[in-house]
Amino acid sequence: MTRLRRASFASIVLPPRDWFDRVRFGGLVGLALILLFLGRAEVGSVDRVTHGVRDALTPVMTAVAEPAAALDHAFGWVGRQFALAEENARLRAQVERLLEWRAEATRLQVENASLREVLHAQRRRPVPIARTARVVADSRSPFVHTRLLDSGARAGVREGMAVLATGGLAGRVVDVSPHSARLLLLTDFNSRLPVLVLPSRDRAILSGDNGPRPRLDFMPLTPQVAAGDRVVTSGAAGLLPVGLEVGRVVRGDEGNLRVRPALDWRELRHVRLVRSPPVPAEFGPGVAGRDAGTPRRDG
Amino acid sequence: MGLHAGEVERRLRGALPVVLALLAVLVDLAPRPAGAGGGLAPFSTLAVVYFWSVYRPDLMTSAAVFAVGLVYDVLSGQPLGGTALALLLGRGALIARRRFFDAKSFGVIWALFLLWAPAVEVVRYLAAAGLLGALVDPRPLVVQCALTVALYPALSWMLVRLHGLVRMPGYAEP
Repeated sequence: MTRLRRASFASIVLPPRDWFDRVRFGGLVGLALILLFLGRAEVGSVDRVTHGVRDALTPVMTAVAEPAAALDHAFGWVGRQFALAEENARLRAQVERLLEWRAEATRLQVENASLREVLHAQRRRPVPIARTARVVADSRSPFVHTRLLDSGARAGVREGMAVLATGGLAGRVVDVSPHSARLLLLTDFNSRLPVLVLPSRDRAILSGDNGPRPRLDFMPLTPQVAAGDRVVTSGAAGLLPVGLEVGRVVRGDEGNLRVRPALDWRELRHVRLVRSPPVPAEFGPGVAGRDAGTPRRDG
Repeated sequence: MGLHAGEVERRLRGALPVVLALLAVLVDLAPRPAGAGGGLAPFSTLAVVYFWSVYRPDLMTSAAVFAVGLVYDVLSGQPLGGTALALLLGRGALIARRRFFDAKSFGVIWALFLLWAPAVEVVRYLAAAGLLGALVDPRPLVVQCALTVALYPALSWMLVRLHGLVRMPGYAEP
């Protein structure tokens, strides 16, 4: 009985330090909840603080990324040694195939040039690359598929810029601070990209769902699309340049149409940022760079 | 001056758990390009926070856990406050039962981590799902959690060796 009374007394009259700890704990939990709420409301002052922290830590992440990449490369090298013979055979076959393609490409190039001359058509301009950037942090998360880039507004990076990696489009820039930027990958839950399926020229919206293969949404009622078709950016609404390689159509498990991204995930260390095209007059000023279907992210 | 230098050393040693947790954040988020989600990798920050919350809760304070969680959220681009909240609640649960850990074997501590880590991940998942307004596929999270639990013995072995650095030679710990 005495023991019981002592125990309950001790639980009420805690040492001051314990009370302080509990108040601090409660305050911090409250602060975390407020931050979660403010993150959804996109409050500017929170953005400024997070951008400051992110910019300050980007050089540290760059320093960590380098040895991590070297280590990865070393492991990769060891792994590749076991598959050299197989890789050699595959590359030989590929070279033979590509030689045929090169002959075809040369023929088409000559034919194209003469047809352009007949039609007085302008030559298609190359993709306007604004700059290259290094990937310094991974989201490593099932919730968000983003990467942190080591270049920001000071280096000319702007929100909405298309981001190219080896193989094809990686996504778009969604959140820019002075010295860093966040790349929203095309597989992210919030990513929506206007695309064109070739050769049918059917338009669609490529919607990420945090899986490895984003969905093709808003297709025409009778789409002429088959598995293996090429998918490129359509340039609709003038947000992205036209014709950037996105991937190939595949059938999803549920029978719906999905896209296997063309980019090489293993080479997603350096990316090229594509300058946004001028905004067509009908969309008005200030549309470019804003993310139509993509809420901004903190971080 | 000698006393001052001793105080500085004591503080530096005391900061080691937080420094190690921040280092774990950097290692966790270092780019290892292997897939859309960055490939499968353990969440070592969780294991480091657990270790120090169990063995030295006086050094892994709630403010430190909050800061580590926030840095993780800022760098990873996840909902700001989600990881901080999950780690804070996780630490709170451990502190509330801190007497339980007295003189327990490694197996028991590891078994508890097996229960604790998924619970913290569930809080993180709910925070992110609430913010995204949708339930994303939780399978990658399950795999990440399993890898983290599997990594714990190795990480714990390393941290036990570093634990000696936290103590000031010749001084009694509180």
